[in-house]
Amino acid sequence: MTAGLLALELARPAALLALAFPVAVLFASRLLDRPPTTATGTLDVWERVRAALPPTAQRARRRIPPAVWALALGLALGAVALAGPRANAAGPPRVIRALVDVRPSTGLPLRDATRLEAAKSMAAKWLDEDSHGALVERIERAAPFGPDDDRSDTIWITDRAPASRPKHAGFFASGGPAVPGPIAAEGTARWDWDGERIVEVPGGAPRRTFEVRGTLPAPIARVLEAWAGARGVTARSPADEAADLVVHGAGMNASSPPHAVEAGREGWKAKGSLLRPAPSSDEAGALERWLASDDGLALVSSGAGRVHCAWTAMEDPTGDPAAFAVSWASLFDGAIRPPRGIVELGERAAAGEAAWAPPRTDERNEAAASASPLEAWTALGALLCVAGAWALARPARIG
Amino acid sequence: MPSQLGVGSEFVGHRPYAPGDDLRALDWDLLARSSRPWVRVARREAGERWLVRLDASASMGVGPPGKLQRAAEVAAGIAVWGSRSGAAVCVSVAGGEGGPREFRVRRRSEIAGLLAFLGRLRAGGGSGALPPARALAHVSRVFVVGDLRDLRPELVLPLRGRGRSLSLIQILAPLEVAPAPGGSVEWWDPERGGRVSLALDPALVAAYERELEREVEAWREIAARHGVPFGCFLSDRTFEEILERSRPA
Repeated sequence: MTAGLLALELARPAALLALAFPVAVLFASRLLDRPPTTATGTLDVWERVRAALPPTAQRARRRIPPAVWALALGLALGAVALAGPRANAAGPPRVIRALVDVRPSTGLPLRDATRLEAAKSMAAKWLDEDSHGALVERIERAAPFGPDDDRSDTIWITDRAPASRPKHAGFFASGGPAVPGPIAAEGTARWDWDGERIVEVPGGAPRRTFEVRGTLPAPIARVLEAWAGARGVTARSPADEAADLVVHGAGMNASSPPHAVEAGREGWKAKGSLLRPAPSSDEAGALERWLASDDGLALVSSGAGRVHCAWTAMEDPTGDPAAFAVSWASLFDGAIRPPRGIVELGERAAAGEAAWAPPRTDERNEAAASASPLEAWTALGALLCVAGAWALARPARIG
Repeated sequence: MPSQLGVGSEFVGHRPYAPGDDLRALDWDLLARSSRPWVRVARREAGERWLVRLDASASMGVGPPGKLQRAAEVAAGIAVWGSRSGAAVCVSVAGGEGGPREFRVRRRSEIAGLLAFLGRLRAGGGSGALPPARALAHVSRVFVVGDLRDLRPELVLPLRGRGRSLSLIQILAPLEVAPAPGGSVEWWDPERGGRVSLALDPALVAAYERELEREVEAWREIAARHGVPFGCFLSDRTFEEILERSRPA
């Protein structure tokens, strides 16, 4: 019962001020319901009879008529109905999904921080003031966010306000001016945007590295080496920072016997073996399956900056040899992190003014609340009580 | 007592028969002619002096119907009877607005003046003291008409004396005898000013009625023991009914 009451909320709490009316009705009835004064010549007889009564019964009981009680109850229910009682949609602690835009543009500097930090600050301020106590589920994703992300429990944290305001989701966009800087790199050359023009900087390309952990089958190792040479990606040395691409090979000391597999894509096919399937996630997050065996085992999965290869052995692939190289090169191109400091020209453009909007109330919940039978039942109860008061008062007028 | 009245050696007229009258005084010839019983009135009755003590205290204003209204009508009826019998009747008002007063009726022609006197009466104040002994000299009949609420039998009964009869006529309002149960009421005593608020549930009303009945019965028993006619009447009865049942012999 208590939990049920606590789960109620009022759409118009100010209407509860109308509860003063039933209180006033009861008070007035009490005041006006003074017993009539009647002259008698036998007061001494009444006094003797009263003296024989128990003390609690010696005074006239001033009863409020049932019609007045019914009227007061009706008015009270009416006030509650006006206040709009409904089930508390919040109920358990609210969970807010915070989609954090991790596009390169959000990492551009803005004042003394980054665009993303500024947007996070805006969201944090709103969470603190308007959604205190809500739990926040942080999800890092690259914008744009799609229709599936347009939910009333979701906020978008980004740098550029969406072209059209989402119907349900809130958003916090830092905005920010254009940030000139490197916009592309190829080979050893780098291209910078100075705000007006694009300038080539020979030899200015940032150096990228790769690292192989474990053992890769020879065909794959050869393609990786060729791809790295073509892209100017060098093997990571101990003095380097973290590699821009880490390729995880399969371990060779597993106790279980290897499993023969055959797989292929994009015009090539190869036989080989594996000890265990490629993982679907690692400590850095979810991985996308890139290659599976004919019998459905994951052979290769990848994510930003990493590739997991489960092949323990691989025969030379059949089919077009170039197709094998191009296929794997596209995998490495997609997985390697972009050159540090390189942000595409479109990303460096101005992000506009800072803007934000809170999530909109879930229309479904609101519709459910407006159609909540509790308010209707309360109003109906109020009407019935007032009608009952009228019926009770008709035979003998109130007051 | 009634047997001693209404008989005498010198006939002066007739009056209606009342229960208790000596049948020897009944005029059988007149009964045969009028089909109503009449008794012969002797000279001794005709020379009597009657005193009617009419209570006009504030409690007599209780009603409806007003107790004073009915009591005044009864007093006037007694005066009419007395004048018919040739008795001199003094209506003495106890209490009432303006203090104690009296009106004497010696001839039937003075009845109109008595009615006017009674018509001006207004209930108020206390009922005051009973008539002193000197006021009762040569009075052969005393009538006490009122609610008797402020009188006690031991004070009233001495009004009866040698050669002087006493009749007690108590008049109470219906709401005093049988208050309607239900609801609450604040009872107010117009004489003493006291107030009592009570919820009139049936049990309480029944207890009140028993207590009042006990009081009235006490009056009736004491009066009967002393040979004093006593009657308790509601003010909603007509004065003719009251007179019929308490008519002097």
